Amino acid sequence: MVSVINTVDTSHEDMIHDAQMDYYGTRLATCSSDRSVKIFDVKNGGQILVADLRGHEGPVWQVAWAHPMYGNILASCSYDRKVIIWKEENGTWDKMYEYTGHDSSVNSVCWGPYDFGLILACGSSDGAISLVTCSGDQQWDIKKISNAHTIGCNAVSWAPSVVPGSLIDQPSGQKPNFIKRFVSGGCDNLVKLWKEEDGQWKEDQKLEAHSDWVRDVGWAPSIGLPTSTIASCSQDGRVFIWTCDDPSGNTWTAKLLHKFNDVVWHVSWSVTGNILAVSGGDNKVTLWKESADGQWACISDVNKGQGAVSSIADGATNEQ
Amino acid sequence: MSGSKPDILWSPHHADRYVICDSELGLYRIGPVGSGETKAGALPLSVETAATLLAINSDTPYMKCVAWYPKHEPECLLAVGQANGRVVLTSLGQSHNSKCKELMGKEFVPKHARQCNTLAWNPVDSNWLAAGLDKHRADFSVLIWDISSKFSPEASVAAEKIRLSSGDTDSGLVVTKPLYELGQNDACLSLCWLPRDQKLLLAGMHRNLAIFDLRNTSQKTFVNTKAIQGVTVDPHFPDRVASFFEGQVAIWDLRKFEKPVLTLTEQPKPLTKVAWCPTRMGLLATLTRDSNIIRLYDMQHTPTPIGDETEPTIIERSVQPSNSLIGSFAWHPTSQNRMVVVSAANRAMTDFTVFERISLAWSSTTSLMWACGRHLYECAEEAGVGGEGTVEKDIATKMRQRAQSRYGHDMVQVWKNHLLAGGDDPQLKSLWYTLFFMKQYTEDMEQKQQGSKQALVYSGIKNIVKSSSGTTENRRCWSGSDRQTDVPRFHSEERSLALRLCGWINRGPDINVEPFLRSLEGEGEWERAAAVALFNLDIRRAIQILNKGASAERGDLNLNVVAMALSGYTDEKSSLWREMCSSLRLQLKNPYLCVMFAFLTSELGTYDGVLYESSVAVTDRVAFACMFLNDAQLPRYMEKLTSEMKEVGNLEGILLTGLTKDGVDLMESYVDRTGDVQTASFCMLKGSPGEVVKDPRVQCWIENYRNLLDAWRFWHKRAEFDIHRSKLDPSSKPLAQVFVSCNFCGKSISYSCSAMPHQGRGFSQYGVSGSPTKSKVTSCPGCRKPLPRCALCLMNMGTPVSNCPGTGHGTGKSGEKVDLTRENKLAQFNNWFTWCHNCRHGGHAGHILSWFRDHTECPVSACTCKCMQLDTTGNLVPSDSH
Repeated sequence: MVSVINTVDTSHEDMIHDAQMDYYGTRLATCSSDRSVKIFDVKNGGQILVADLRGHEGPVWQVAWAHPMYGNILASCSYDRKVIIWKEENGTWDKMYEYTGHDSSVNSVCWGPYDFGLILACGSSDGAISLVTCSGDQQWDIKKISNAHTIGCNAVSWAPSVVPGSLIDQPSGQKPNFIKRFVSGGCDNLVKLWKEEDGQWKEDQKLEAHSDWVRDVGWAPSIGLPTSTIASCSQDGRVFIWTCDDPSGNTWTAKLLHKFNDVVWHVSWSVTGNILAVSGGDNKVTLWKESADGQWACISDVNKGQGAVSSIADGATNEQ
Repeated sequence: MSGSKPDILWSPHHADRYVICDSELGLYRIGPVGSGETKAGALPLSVETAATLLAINSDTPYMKCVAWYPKHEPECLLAVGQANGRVVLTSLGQSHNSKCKELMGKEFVPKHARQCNTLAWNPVDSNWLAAGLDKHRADFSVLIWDISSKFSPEASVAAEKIRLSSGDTDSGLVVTKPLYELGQNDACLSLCWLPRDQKLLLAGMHRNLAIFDLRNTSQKTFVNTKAIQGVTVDPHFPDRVASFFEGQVAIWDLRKFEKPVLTLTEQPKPLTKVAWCPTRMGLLATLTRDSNIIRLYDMQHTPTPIGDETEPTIIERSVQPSNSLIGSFAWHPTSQNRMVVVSAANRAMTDFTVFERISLAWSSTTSLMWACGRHLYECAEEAGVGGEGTVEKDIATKMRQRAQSRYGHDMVQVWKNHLLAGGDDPQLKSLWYTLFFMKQYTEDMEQKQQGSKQALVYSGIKNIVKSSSGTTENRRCWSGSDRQTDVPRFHSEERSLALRLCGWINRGPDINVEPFLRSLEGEGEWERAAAVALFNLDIRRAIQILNKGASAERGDLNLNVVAMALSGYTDEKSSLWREMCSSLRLQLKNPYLCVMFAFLTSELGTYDGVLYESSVAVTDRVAFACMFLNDAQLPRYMEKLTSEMKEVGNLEGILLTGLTKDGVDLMESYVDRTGDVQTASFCMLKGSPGEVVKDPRVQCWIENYRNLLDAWRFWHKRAEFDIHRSKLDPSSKPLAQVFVSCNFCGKSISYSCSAMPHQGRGFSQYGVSGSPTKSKVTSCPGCRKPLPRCALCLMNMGTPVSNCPGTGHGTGKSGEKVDLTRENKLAQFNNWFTWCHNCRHGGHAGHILSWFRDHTECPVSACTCKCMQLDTTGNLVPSDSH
């Protein structure tokens, strides 16, 4: 069972759009409509503000931490059409790179698995998805998938790195040839899978099931098996779990996790991919787990109000 | 007629007060339910809040519109627009102070009586009150009154008309001369002052939206449109205005006033209210007539100075604050996304909050963060103290706890690992005992120098019995009865080994289950002990065990009855005993009691009742099979059981598969089911150095587990894991990536120690590397020139660190016996070379570490390099060191 243990005072002046913990769970990055990105040290249940990053000229939608083997690197994306990559050096945070290649709001950023190098996927309201790769020494290489989603792309999420055909014996000593894949969701009600082939990004799959905008997608971390699992949620209130057992990655089956009464904003997989957290317009965060027979069950239902509301003067909740 | 349609106004100054106006004015205070403030007559507004009626004012009939005085003083001053066009100042629940008293009851009367549609206080010049009226011939429809003005000279002239509404009005309080008159020959339906300039008034006229500038009243900016109702300025963007007409909302940008920047989807019913959320950018709430939902338009994308060409994205949502039809609503001026809603019919009120997009993120330590509005919440799995009925913990939490208790690290008493894992999982128990027995057997074989069998034991019972040869069959007497049984038992060396792996018999040549029975008795597993005794054809012992169990369990009748039934055993095929046992055994709850009778009543050679009783531990079923199935039946049964185990991912099946490819298959479905890569990694590393470790799936589990340990900052645990792993899989040992070379001859000084490359590729990450050089060597073994000196002790490198103040470098003293050799090895770390990649200064690792505990700059004087801060992970503390 889950309960609220902590409420964090971020001192943001407007709505917070995203909060992400770093790899070690010791740092928290938040971003808000107040155009700022804040970084906190999380220690013993308390938070100390260590940086307040200003640089965006509009609401900042999402932040993403890179793997620590590349240093302390954070990407943020904003309505101002920019993606900023920040880096901590000598204890101070600075802009490392600013990407301005989108024509509209950038809604989502996600770093690829560390095996792929420093690679960032960005989804924008202009319908395009950009892949920004650090090719060493402040050189950044851009690949853009135009018109990935008509009207706009709302979310991107990378597949964990899996060596192709890992079930078949691999000639030893060879450098593994990773297949780079990610999933995106957009305003065309579609979930799309993308795959890099010979250095070019191609649409690999188009998953249709939602009847309204796809708000978020999440590729589950695969612990152990090369079975792929994706969660997608939509404005239509539905959450789907997509699975693919086929090693070639061509047959995806959808399973309806649940139909909520209101929009479903986000889905998020736990570290081992065993629990899916879902947040909806009814102000509830629900946790879901797959049972041994493949059925998804709600294991916990955390109302924001529980335990938290008493400490917040204006956060009175009401539900009908 | 009085305006029966209710409306709500929040107090501009008190966050907990609001006024509801329908036929009268009611002032309410909102507070938490059950608090001292709320009185008995409080009306519940939500689960947590209730409202108390503070005051009622019914002095002003024919109300059409109400506006609350925006300044602090006087506090509760309201302007009421009436059906005859008059505007009356009134108050609610105030102890009248002098200033307020003067204004109270003051009336502002237009020349011609017609309905007053709207009122708006100027937010800066708060004396100014704008009133919008219906059309009357060529008269003006927008009147701006100055509430501080004295009554006009013509007051007496108008006095007759005043009598129409309220007879007892003091004519001294009547004002008939407006400050400004605007909108001639027109009607005004809605008004609002523009916040960017207090002299600008936006008015929804009959067929256009007009902006009046009070500095030059002859001029107005206007745009022809039907959307002239409910003009309202976005509190976050002073240039953004919303207005509506029937079911359509128009959004205007005053900088580009020619046409609406956007029109929101048409509603089937006419709109009655449109309001911007004051606490949240770009959130517009709309209400239609006879509706129980409020529609929200989330204009996420704010207008930027760049001047947007593309249409902003709008997310539409509907909220239903209550089941009844909504009369009106009002956003709370400061509380996030909160509104009070009043029903159309009976003035039922609801306190309602519109919930925002909640973003979610898991942390590596399995706590969940989410952001909602301006707040962030963190939640974690409750550390339930093993309470009954609580949901099982997530595997990530379990793995973390198990890693902390050194699960998997007990290399000697391998079976103890199941206790380290919590000791409550029968599958893990079986697994670790199996691995323990396998290891024990291997060690025995090593002593006897019989290496050939060593590999076999890890290939599992399935393969062991397959290779069985020279099986003998014998028939033994029931002990305790002199009758010859017709139960054949099979023996072979391999079958004995299998029994040993099942834990039924100990090492040694004779097949003696007595020690096993005693240990089962010791654990109180009476039924199981009895069954094992029975399978060894010792009815007397079985009965004895049951009796013992019955007395130990305070006269468990069940056990005694079973003992009684056993003693009546007869091998007569058609006896009543046999008949009754066959039918009644199925009612026995305990599977072991059940299989005992299944065994006794079974036909020759067919033991399905025992073999396929899934509640009986796999070890016992396998041991049973090894005793009673012949060479033809046994492999078939093993095959069947193995595939069953593989399918469900039951770890007990490792007994059958061993650490083979089959075992990996089984583990794969176990991991698929549970996600427990920890057990999978440790289990596969317990076997003999074999090809299983090279299986990509095993590699994948190991890598995943190492990643988890990294993310949890269990670096010491990971190092131990890597050391353990490299013993079994030498290929996993990373090659030395850094060599210390002599400044003079350039040769690696550690070549003499190259047989012992440092472990763990992690060190290169920390910017700290070193080689375990022999402590006596203080000069380059190649050219005999001295090695550089340590920046702190100024001794040549290679000199052992004599006294390092801060050697408390977490050795994991978890109360367990501390391996002395391990401690020595760690102490050597203090002697290692370490240097900063940036300034190239360095010295003994122990010295450097203790230096940077208190300093940020390099120990070399005049060097300002902040060596430790260059390392991004250098400041992180391992979470498994204390």
